[in-house]
Amino acid sequence: MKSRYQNRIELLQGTLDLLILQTLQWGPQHGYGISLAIRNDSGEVLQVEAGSLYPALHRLERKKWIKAEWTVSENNQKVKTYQLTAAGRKQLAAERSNWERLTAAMAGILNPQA
Amino acid sequence: MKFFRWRERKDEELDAEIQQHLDEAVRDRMERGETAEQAQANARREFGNVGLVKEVTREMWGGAWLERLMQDLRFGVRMLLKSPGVTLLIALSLMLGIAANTTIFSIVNALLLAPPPVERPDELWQVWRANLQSSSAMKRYRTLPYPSLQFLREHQQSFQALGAMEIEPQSVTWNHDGAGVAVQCQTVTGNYFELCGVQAARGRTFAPDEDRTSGTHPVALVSYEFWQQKLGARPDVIGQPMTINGAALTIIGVAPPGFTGAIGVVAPELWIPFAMAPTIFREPELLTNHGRHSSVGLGRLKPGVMRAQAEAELDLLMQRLAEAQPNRHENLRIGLQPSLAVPAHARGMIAGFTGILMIAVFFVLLIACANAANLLLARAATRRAEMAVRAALGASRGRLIGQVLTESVLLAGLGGSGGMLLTTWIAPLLVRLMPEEIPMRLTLAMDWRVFTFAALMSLATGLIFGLAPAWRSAQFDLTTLNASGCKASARNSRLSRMLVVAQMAVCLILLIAGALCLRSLMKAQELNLGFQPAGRVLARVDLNDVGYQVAEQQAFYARWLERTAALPGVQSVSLAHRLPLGTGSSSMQISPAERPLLPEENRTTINVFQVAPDYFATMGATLLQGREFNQHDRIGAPLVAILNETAATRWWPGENPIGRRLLINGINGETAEVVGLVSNGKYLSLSEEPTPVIFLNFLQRPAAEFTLVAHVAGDAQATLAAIRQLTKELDPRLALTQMATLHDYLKLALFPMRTSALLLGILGGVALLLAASGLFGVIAYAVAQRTREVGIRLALGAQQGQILRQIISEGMRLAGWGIALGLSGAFALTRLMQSMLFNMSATDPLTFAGIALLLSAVALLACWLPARRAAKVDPMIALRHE
Repeated sequence: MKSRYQNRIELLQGTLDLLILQTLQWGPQHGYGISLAIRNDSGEVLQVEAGSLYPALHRLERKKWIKAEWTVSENNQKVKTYQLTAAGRKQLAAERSNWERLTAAMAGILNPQA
Repeated sequence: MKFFRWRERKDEELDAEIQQHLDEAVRDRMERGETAEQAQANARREFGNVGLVKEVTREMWGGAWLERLMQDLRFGVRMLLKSPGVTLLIALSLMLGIAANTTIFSIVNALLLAPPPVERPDELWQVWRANLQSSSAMKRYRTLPYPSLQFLREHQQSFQALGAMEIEPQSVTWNHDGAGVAVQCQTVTGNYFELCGVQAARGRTFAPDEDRTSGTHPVALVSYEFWQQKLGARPDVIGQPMTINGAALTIIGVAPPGFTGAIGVVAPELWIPFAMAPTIFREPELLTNHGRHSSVGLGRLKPGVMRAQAEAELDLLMQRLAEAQPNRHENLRIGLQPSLAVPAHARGMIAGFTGILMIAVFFVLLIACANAANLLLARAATRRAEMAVRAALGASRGRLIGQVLTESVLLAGLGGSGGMLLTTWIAPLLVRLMPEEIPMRLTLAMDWRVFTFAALMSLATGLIFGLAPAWRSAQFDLTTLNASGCKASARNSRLSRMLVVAQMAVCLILLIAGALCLRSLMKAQELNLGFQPAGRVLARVDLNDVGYQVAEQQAFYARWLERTAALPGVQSVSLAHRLPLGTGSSSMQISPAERPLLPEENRTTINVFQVAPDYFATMGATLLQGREFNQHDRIGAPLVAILNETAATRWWPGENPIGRRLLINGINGETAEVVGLVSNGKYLSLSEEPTPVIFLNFLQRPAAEFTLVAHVAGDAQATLAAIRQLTKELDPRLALTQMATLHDYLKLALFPMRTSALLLGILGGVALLLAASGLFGVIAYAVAQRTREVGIRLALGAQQGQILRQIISEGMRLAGWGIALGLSGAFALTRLMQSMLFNMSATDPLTFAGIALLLSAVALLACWLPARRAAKVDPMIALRHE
């Protein structure tokens, strides 16, 4: 069990927000779906714990970057799904460019000759 | 309420969301081939601590602190109710501590902080003379002569309006249907009420022109309370005549209820304009006398004018005035003071006195806090398991500390509310301590300042005593939870031992302070006053009020003395212009007639008392040589004088003073023959050094104002009533301006000492009770924890005496540390109260040793009670313990 944790990468502060926004770009999704998507898209490297995911979702909702809706799923269950708002889209663009600048800068430092 | 409904809905939603997450995860896992049970368990594990996830998610909603607080409060109340004994004990000791603090603060508030009942008091300034070089606050601010203030009023530009008032009301006699009544009368300028921003409740206030010319506008205002109580609230009071000190005044208005003037503590019943003061006080020069310093200016600054600017302007004006009259106001500048209840020159003294009391009550509160902390520490030890469980369930350390702190603040709030209630009960009792002779109206109101103080005090208290237990209860290691936390409990008891040592030390300081005051009071009462107060009564009249001629005055003395002497129980009776140790004195330049005046005698004067025949016998003074005054020493007969020992040894050391002659400059350079010598006494204050004093015969130097003294065997009060009755029969217009037993009369001189001894004594007692219970609690707790150990030792053959000795010596070691610390603390602190002490050092070794012994004895008792219980432990029961 411990070894599984060792392969994972600790998420940078604020990165989770970017991941959630990015995931929601493809359409409305519920909490479990978001965590699955992040895990699958990262090739099982990034695993978001519920203890980080739900606070982040509720924080983003409070900032009005995403909004929540209660819908009924195909097996007739009440499901809370999140979707991006206009403000969220803008925030995603801003955070993306931040992230790209950060990775470019990191790459420059780590590979000086390139 | 809406907030809570919203949160409730959000909570339900969150539950549903998490449930949905788990369901989906289980479904996924089952699709991958896990059994239902496996899927359930794995999904749960993967999700983590549901409670914790909910908790941190809730944080994101905003307003979480409020919810947390409500939770903590609810839980806190439940916990407090679970151990009502401890709760009650802590709340009670905090109640005492907070009540003491709030009561003393309400005195500080009434005297030093609360503004007088005027409009916009922060803009109303008092104008004083200031001696900025003076280090003593008492002497820094002085009153001004009325003519100087008048000059300032005419020439100043800084104030919208400037007025003046006499520094305090004076007693005048109101001729009420033929009977004289003493009334407190305040002299003010015509614009005084306007400056105060006060409208008359009935009639009108003074007009400015009623202040212009002396004696032409005989008008007066009465206080609302005076109108209600003494004038029967007559609706037709306006325009009624009122005879004051023999002069006829007309009542033109009634001041609003509760108005005491710009100096709020002194309560006038009557106001007259300055123009009437020369008539009322029979002092024609009053308005022009530059040597009579008794007035204070009062004004509101023009908009934009700063205090320093106004002071500078008035300084310049005072310089102009001084140039016109050399030798006046040297070194003195003008100082503006904000309007506060107590006049500027007395504020320093009051601040010193109340400051010491504030320190004392703060100490009491500290002891109470230490008690509370100790009780909570003991409880924290028993709650360690609860805390560990809560932490295991996901509560953060900060949250646990917050929870315990909430409980202690709740406790403090309980104690604080009780304390405030107790204050409203104690404060009026405290006001009643004040002798009636001090014309003060002190209302210790629970206003917003006092309330804020009490509330902040309670909050701070809760945080202070709660911090250590809260910190301790959150300090544990989950992995060692089952090892019963022995280490932590050792640390706990070290902390509580330190608290007990501190308590003992602070308690000792308080007790020493109280004992010093008490001993000083006892010394003052045992003091040789030069007369015997027991069985003596006095009554004072002012014949000025009825305007007697000299012959009528003489006839009055004779009849007054004669009728009083005939009363049952009266053994002897006499008169004096003034009694010693009262307010006011007179002095003259006096020297032996056989040689010229020495240069230093030119500047010094000797105190003079004018007393009638039989005075020394009546007062119980010891006549060492010669004779008393007698009826033959009349006006016209050769002047006679009686000396005290100090005066005799100053002028004729080792010789017989009887028959010598004294040159008395005060009486046209006449000489007086010394006919008697009396033993020394106290004349102006109890703390004075032996002072030379000359007695002259009242019959040769008569005055219109004088005091009758009578030596009474039997009921003094009955004699006083009879004197009042016979005075009324002699002249119904006369009012006795003072009437008391000599004991009560001396109370005024002893008032500060008696009050401080009483208050510090009570505080010391409370501190002793709290500290002793603190020591008892710690020892009892330690004993209870060690029952098993004691049982084993008893089973192995230890003697009961050994156990007893060991536990007692353990407690006494704490007490010893506390006493040693307290002694050094007291040594450093009691110096602050030297000025309150009389005839003794603030580090009096006897008091220090005695109190240390007393505290040791109490500590011994507090240790012996639990120790005895430990020694009586039955080994079999003890071994089965746990």
